[in-house]
Amino acid sequence: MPRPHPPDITGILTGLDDGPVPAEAGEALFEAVYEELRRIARRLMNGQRPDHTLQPTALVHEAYLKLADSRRVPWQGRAHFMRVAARAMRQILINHARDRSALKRGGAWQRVTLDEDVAGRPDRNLELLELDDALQRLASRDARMAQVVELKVFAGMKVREVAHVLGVSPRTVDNDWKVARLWLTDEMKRGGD
Amino acid sequence: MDDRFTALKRILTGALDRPAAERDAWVRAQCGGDDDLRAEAEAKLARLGEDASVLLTGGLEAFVHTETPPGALPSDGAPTVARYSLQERIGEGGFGEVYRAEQIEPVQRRVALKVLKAGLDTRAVLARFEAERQALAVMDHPCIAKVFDAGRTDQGRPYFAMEYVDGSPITDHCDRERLGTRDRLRLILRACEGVQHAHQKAVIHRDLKPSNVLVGGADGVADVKVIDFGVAKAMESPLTERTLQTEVGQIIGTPEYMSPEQAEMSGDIDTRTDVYALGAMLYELLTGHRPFDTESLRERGVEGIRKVLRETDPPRPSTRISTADRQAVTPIAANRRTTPNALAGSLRGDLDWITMKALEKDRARRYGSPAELAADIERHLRHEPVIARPPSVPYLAARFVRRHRIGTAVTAAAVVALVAFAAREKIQSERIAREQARSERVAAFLTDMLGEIEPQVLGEALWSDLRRRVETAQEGRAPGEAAAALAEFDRLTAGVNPTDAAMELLDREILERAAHTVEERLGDDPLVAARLRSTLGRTYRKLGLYERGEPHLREALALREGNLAPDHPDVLTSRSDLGALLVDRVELETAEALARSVLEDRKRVLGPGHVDTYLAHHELAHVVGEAGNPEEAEENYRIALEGLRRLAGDDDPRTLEVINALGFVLLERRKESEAEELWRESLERRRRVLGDDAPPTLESLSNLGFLLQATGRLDEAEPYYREALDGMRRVLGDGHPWTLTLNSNLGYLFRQQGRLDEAEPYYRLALEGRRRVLGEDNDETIMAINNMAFLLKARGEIEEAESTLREALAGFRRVLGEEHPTTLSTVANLAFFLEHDPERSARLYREAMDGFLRTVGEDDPETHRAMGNLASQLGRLGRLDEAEELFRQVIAARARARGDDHRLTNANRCSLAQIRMRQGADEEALELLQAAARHGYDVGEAIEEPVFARLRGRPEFDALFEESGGPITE
Repeated sequence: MPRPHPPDITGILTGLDDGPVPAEAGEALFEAVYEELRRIARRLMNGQRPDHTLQPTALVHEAYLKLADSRRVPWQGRAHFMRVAARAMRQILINHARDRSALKRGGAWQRVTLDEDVAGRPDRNLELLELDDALQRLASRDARMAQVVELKVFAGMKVREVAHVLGVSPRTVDNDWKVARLWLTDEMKRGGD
Repeated sequence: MDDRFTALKRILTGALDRPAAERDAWVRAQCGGDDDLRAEAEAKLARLGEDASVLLTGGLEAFVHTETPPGALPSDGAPTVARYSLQERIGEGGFGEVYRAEQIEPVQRRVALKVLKAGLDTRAVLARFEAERQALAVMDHPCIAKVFDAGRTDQGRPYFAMEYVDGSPITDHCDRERLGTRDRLRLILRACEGVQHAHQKAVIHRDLKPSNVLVGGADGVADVKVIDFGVAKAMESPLTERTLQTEVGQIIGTPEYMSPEQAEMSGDIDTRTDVYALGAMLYELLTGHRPFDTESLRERGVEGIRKVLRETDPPRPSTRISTADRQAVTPIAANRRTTPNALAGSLRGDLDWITMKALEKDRARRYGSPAELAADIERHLRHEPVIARPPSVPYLAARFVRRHRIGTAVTAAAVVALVAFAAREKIQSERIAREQARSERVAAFLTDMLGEIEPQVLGEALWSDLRRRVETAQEGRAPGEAAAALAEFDRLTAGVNPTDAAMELLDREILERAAHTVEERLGDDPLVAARLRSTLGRTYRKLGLYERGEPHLREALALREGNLAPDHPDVLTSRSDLGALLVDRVELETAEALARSVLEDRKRVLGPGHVDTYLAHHELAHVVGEAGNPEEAEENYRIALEGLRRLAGDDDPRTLEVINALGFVLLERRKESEAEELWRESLERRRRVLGDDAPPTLESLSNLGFLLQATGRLDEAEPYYREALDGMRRVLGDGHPWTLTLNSNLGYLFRQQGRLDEAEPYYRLALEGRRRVLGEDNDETIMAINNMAFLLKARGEIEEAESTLREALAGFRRVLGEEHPTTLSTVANLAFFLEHDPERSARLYREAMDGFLRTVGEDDPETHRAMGNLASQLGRLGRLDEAEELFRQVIAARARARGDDHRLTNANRCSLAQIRMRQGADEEALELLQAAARHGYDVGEAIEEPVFARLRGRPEFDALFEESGGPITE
């Protein structure tokens, strides 16, 4: 999409209480976030030590700081950003998984292990794609539940943060998350009907 | 939103909120007849715990992880393991290292990764582990740490992934928390449970030691987890099985906890090997030492170790403590919140035998399983006979006889029956009221039951019964959950004193109801009512609840007096009962009159040589002794003692009671050695006949402690007090007057020894207890407040000390009156506390002095004390003439009452000398000093006062220096 000038992310985020985000501004925001996150993620790929546990929130936070002037953005703006970022992260990962799936099986090394489910070791990329599918099906039944999952799984947020972003109580988020896990796992393992 | 989905969501949310056992039922109920819905709900719920991994890790981890090239060696030499992210090294040893790690797939969780050192045959190790894997996988016990996995690190070393336990070795934990012996026993019980579970799955640990038995807190509750199951066996190889050493010469394994058969390395191991190790840990928890000393073992080499383990017997735990160097063993005792003597005492007997049986060299003689060991420990904790102990008649008799001393053991069931009985009686009122015979039976039944009540036994019985009920309720639950529930029960009730609980129960449920039954149902038959009321009153007295008992005894007496001849033995008994209770409540006048009349009556009716007459002598002696007439008390006690020895025998409890009481009087009359002799006799007899925990024995222990304390042998006193206090709390409860007195005494003992910090809690206990049981307006309570004030002063907390003493003073004024010597003494004490403020202090001393002069006269030491102190204060205020007059007065009075040679008389002389100096009367001052010196008083310190400077150089003055032992150095 051609962009004559970089979008004013801060402006978009601060203008939220004036009403819903206009379509173009929303698109622009998403694109910007997407780009930034992808940049960060790729940086990780290159130099990452396996010892470190990765925190998606760190990425999202870094992107936020980069893109918006946090001093001027009200909390609704930040919450909105997070929702967008989670969606963007999901997109990045799904796209990446699709690419990897296509390339699969060549040069994969075997690890010797006595793990009992050697045969059933999950193919991570495949799982990601299955999750995406199942999540879409969930969204058509219960939008908020799907949002909770997106924020938790792709933006790595804690229950309290999710509650804040969505404007509901932590209890609600907790219940949604617990039920969603059961539902999604069952859907994924059954292969989906 | 989808309606069907909404319903499903609601059902799942609700199901997750309920405990596992209830879920299925709940779902079925909610779904009604909708089978599809139910099937779907159940399918979803079946996925609990099986989350698709991507849900938990998000996509990002894998995103990065799959990009990392394989086999990468990290730059710092730390091991790397696929699917795990190592965080931190948390331990190391001969075997290798342990790391805290995060598992990434297939499940995300924290684990402990034990990475074995290089050089071991990885394939063999892993193969051996694989053999155990099945058994390990089915182990499920809260006290066992799971082993999840084994494999190779990227560098080729074998590793085990285990449940991560955040805790410390059991020995460290116990010492850090300063857990007492019983708490340590409870922890070791948990370890036994875990090991027992593993044995039932045919897994032997083989390497049990404190570092493998961790105590950690989850949700604030500390519990035991045994780690490393299955690891030791996997690590052993045919090669090492033949030797205790590696090529390097280091001893593999921990010989300190190794059983003799393990040291033989014959491979013949069974479950009893683990029992031995548990025994070694028990030994260490109890005594602070391992059964065999580390250094002495290791330096002997392999053969030496085998020999020691095979042939040498470690000392018994109590012996280990009692023969150890006091310096070394005091901190060990402190870590168990006790003293060396008390510790040795508590280990002696049961705990000795249990530990030694677990450490038997001959496997056949050991406990067969950790469960047997645990069972014996539990028996000990419940004061039941333990198996380990060689059965001998006195031991068994003591235990069983005590427990079954009641003709029909009062169990919880009986208690409930009694309550129900009383309740039923209310309903069937008319018929019962008219049936005389039936009332008699009721009365007899209640009397029998109530008369034999032993609060301690009842309390223990209630506890055991309740626990059994909890246990039964667990049937059908998973063993882990059942054990956890019981452990929870034990934890919850650990802080409850069953005796106290029983007493409350008795009062509220039994005695109160019995009282109502009597009032409402049996008013028609006064004698039956009287009998019941007597029993009630006596029971209340036994429980120490005097206020409740008195009205019943008065009523009983009134009923009997109204319906029987005045000579009737029952009338006399009632008078005696009431008197006894009143004495206990310190209402002495009434009690004394009663006691005298009872004695006269009995002499007349039964004759002077009758047992009951001797008992009346005893009662009278008791009363007049309390009233402050020790000669008459002693006389009557001796009569009672001689008669009872003759008629009832030396071992009769009544004889021993007289011995006990006589001792007090003798002590008062300064005949300490005879008192000690008598009390030691009484203690020995009571122990032998009634047992260690019988209240009379506790009384004897306490008395001896008191005597030792009173004669200045403080160290000797402490163990007696401690044993007595321990027993009293158990048997009589925290609120019983005896327990309170003992708290007080022990506190005072510590204070005398300067152990003020240790003293304070006892003072507080005594004070709170007295407040609770005797009320604010009881002079014992007030005395406790008074004692507290002195303790606070000794600890330097002046302000609090002062306000506390004021409280005590107000109390004495209220209860004893303005002119009572104790009240006046307290006024003087307050003056003493306030000596930093001479004005107020002086006023108070004057008040006390005036009061003493009015009540006890000029010749009483208390009067002198107040007078002398007042004079000193006046001196400090500069009111010299007044001070002079007063000093003269007190010197004259003291000289008259205590003698010219008395220390205090001459001290006053020196004080007066100072005053005279300040008034310019040097000559008289010198004369006074000389007079004091002449009467044998050491004036050395006094003459150094600057006020006497003017006198220096005068030969008579200088002579005083020489007399007093040398000149002062400038």
